[in-house]
Amino acid sequence: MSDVRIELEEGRDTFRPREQLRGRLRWDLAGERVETIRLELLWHTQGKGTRDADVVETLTVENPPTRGERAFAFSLPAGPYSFSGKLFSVLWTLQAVSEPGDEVVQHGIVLSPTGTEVDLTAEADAGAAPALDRS
Amino acid sequence: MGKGCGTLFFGVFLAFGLGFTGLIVKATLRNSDAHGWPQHRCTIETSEPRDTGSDSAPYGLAVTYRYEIGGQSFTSSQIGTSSASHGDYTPVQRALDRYVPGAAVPCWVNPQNHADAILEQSSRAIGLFVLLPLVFVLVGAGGIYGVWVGSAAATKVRADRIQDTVGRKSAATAVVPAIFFGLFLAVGLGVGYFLVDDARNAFEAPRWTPTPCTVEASNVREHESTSDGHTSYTYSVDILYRYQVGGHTYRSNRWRFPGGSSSGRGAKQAIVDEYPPGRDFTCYVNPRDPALAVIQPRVGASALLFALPLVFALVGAGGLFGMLRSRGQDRRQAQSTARDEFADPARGRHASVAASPSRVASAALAAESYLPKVPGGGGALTLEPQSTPFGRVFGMLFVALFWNGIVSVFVWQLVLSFQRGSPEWFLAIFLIPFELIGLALIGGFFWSVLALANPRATVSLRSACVPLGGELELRWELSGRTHVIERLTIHLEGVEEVSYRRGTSTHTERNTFRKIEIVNTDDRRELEQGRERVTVPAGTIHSFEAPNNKITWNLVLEGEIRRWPNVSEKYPIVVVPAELGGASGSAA
Repeated sequence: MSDVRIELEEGRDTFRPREQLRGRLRWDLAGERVETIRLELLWHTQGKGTRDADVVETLTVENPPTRGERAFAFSLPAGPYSFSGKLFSVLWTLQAVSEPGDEVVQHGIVLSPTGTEVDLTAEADAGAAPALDRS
Repeated sequence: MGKGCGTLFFGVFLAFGLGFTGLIVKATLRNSDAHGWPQHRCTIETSEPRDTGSDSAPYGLAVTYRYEIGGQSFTSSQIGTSSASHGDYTPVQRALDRYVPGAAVPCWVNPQNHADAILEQSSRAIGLFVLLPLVFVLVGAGGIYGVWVGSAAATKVRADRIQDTVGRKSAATAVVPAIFFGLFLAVGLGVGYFLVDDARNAFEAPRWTPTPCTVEASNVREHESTSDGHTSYTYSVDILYRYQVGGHTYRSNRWRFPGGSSSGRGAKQAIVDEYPPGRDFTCYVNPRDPALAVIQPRVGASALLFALPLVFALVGAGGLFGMLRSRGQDRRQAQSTARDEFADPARGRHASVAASPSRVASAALAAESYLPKVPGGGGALTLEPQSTPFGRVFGMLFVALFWNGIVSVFVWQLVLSFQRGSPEWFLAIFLIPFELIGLALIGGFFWSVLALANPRATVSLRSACVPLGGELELRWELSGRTHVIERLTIHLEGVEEVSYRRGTSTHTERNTFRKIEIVNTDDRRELEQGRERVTVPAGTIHSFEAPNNKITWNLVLEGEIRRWPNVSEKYPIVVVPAELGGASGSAA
C-alpha cells in the first residue's frame, strides 16, 4: 500500500492571506505503479448547498521514483477566508492525488487574517450588530 | 423515491417528445415517397367541389385527370398522397381556379405503377417541425440522466477527491434557462408560422373591395373533442356564399379573421340566422387575391389570439438576448477592470481622490475568482437596485399570467364539469391551493403597480467595492412624492445563500448573518437626502460567489408609507478581503 504524506513547515495549519505556504510532499509507493502525484491547494464549500470548489495552485510530480520527496511553496491568495456559517462553510485543503488509482491524501489548513476561521454563527448569535458602526 | 418521481416527471417529457417526433418523421417520410416520382403532363377532365362528410372539415375537391405514358392512357383522381378535407373553403376555391377542365398541369407518376399518380406533392418543410418535439426529448432525456448520474456523481465527490467546480459555472447555470427560453421562442415561432397569414389578412380586410354576395348555405358547425372520457363541443359559423369578380364566380365561407371554434352555440346560431340561404349582402374581397373574401372585416377581441405567439416569441427571444448580453457584459467588465489598472490615472473621473485603493487593486480583484463582479469597476457610481419598479411589475405580470394560465385550463375543465351536471369534486378541492396562489399573484401584481407611484430613491457610493475594515460612504436622494414617506431606514446586510437539488427541484435558502444600521430617521430633510459613512467590520466575511454558495452584501433602503407599498430597494455591493483594498482609510 503506497504512503503519501503532506508535511507543512513548522507543523503550521493556519496561515494569513498572501503568506507563503511551505512544506514537503513525501511518498513511498511500495512498488505500486504511479505515473503522477499531483499536489493541489484548493478551497471548497461544505454545508447545505451543493459543493463548490476551486483549485488555486498545483504541483505535479511526473513518474515519481518509488520513494522520494518534493519541497513546495505556494503563494496563498487574499481569499476566500476560511469561515463557518449557518448554511455553509469554506474550507481550505491540500490534496495529493496519485494517478492512476485516484488515491487521495488530504490536509486541511485555515486561511484567515486572525489565525482562526471566521465564525458567522457567532455574529448571528450575538444578535443585531451595534446599531451605528459609524465613523 | 426522489429518483423515481424525477424519472417519471422527465419520462413524460421524453415520451411526448418521442411520440410527436415519430409522428412527424412518419408523415415526412410518407410525403417524401412521391418526391422521387418523375413529372408528366396531365390534362384536367373534371373539377368540382365535394362534401367530405366530415362535420369539422366538410369541403373537399373532386378532380379527374388524364395522362399518357409509353403510348398508354391513364386516368386518376388522386390529388395528393393523403386526402384533403378543409373547414375553410378558400383552399378548395384556389384548387378549382387551378384545375380548370381542359387545363394542362404537371402531375407526378409512380414509376413502379403508372396507374398511381398525384397532382400535388406535399411540402417536406413539415419535417422542420420535428425540432419542436426534439426539445422535449432533450429535456426529458437530460433530466433522467441528471437524476441518475448527477446524484451518483455528487455522492462520489463527497467521498473522494474534491474536484474543481467553479470553472464550470457559466456552462452549467446557463443550460436550464437557455432551454426554457428556447422552448418559448420555438413555440412562439411555430404557432406564429400558422397564424401569420391570418394576422395579415385580419388587418388588411377592412380595406378590401366591398362586393355583392349571395348566401348558398349557412349552419353552425359542431366540433367534438374528447378528454378524460368526457366529450365536449365547440362551435363555429359556416356560411357559404358566392360572389363574382371579373366575370368569374368564387365561393368562400370565411366569416371573420381569425377563424376557429369556441364554446357557446347561441351566439353562432344568431349570426347564422341573419344569413339564411338566398340572402344578398356585401362581403369584402381581397383585390389581389379574389379567392379570399370575408363577411365581417372588423378585427374583434379574438384578434388577441394573434398576440399570443408574439408574446411567447418575445419572452423567449428576450430571455436568450438577456443571457447573451449579461455574459458579454461580464467579459467586457472583466476586460475593462484589467484595462483600468494600466490607464492613465489622471484621465480617471476620480482623479481628485488621491490613491484610490479600489481602482489600483482592480486587476487584483479580477484575479480573485470567488469574488462577484464589482459594479462600476470599483469607482464611484450611482447604484442600480436589484430590480426596477417596472421590472417588478412585468415580473409579477409574467408569473401571474404563467401560473394562472396553466391553472385556468384545469379550472375551465372544472367549470365544464359543473355545467354538464357532473361536478368533479376531487378536482375542485385539489385546485384550491393553486387558485389561492394564483389570486395572491394577481394581488401581488396590482400591489407592484401601486408601487410605481412611489418616490424614487437614488443611492451613490464613493466605491461599490469596500474592503473589510474599510469605510463605506454613501449618499441618498429621494425624488417624487417624498412627503408620503414617514420613516427612512438604510442598513447594510450580509447574507448567506445556498442552492441544492432535492429530487427534481432546486431549492435556495438564505440566512442574514449580519445587519448594520446606517440610517434610521423620520426627519423630513434627512429623509429626502443625506450622506453617511459606515465602517464595515473587519472580523466578518467578505463577498463570495460560487455556482451554489454565496455571501452577498447589500445596502437595503426602506421608506415606510402608511397603507401603501413601501419604498424598498436593495443595492448589491462587494466587500473584499482587507488585503485587496487597503484597510487604512477610505474605500474611495
